[in-house]
Amino acid sequence: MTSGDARLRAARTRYDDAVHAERRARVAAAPEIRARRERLRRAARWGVVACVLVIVGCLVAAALFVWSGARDQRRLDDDEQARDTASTTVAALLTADPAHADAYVDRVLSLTAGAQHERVAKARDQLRDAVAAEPEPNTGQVLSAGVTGRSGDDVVVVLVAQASDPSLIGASAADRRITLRVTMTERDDRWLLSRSEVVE
Amino acid sequence: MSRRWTLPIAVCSAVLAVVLCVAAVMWRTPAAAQTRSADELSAQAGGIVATVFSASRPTWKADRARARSLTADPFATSSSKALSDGPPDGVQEVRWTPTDVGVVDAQPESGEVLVVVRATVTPMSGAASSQVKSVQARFVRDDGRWLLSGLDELR
Repeated sequence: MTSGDARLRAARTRYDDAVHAERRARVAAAPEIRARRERLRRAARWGVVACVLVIVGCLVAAALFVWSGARDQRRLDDDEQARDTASTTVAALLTADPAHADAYVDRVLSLTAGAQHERVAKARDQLRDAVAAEPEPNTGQVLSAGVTGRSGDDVVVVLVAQASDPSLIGASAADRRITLRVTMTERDDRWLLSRSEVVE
Repeated sequence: MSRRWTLPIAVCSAVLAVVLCVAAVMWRTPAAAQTRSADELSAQAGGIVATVFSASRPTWKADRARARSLTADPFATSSSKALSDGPPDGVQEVRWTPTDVGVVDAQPESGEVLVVVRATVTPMSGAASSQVKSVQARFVRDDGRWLLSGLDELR
């Protein structure tokens, strides 16, 4: 046997020993590796659960924010439309041309609803005659209007108007400036004046 | 789909959900602030106006001090003398009682309100007299409190 053969055999023996040692080490470490994998899997599972909770929570919160924001915006829009329409309606009610008394009454009827509409409809002829008997056209303008609150779906508006003939809306003719409390009702996407009251 | 992608996808979805939630809050904020101002002015404006313009002879100085604490410029400056003077001759009490408070405009930091009040003046002797007044009052928010910053008597 040559010295080369002896070195080769020794190397093979060392290689086999190393392979066996690696196998033994792998077997010895297997439970720890399995445990670590299991820990990572469990952590990932909890991570996914946490993410799902965050997603659900955020979606619910976002839906609530959108819902309440839409409700707030709708209220602001309703208030603004009711207030603006109350102003233009009261100005229209205080603006009457004796030469067009019938048109005035028709306009008042088209801008009112409920009790106010019925009252004007019942007194249609008297109102037309009163407007026609005026010596000159009457005018009116609203100086300020503000929303006081709601009565069901109706919006209550208080406003101050200046009129050449406040009696057109039931106020004393002596005072050119009047304060009114009016109720606006929404019908078919239109705000109509359903009640008016002079604040004295 | 491999299970190894589950966690990254869940994390990305959670981040997107948080972004969506923040966007919803930002979208809601302006309308909510305006609504809150309108509600606060509706509840407080009448009382503030009434307090600023009401005083009783026995407590006149304290009433005026309280009135000054509820005002802001330019109204505070323009009315400083009136809010510092003593009671007018022969007047026992001036009392403003709000009957209607209508919000004309409400912004997060300012607002305008139409206030209808019954103003009653009680003389030292004789019967009290009342009249209805309508005033347009302007307010500013200062450190969370609404203060009267302007006033026009409309009627």
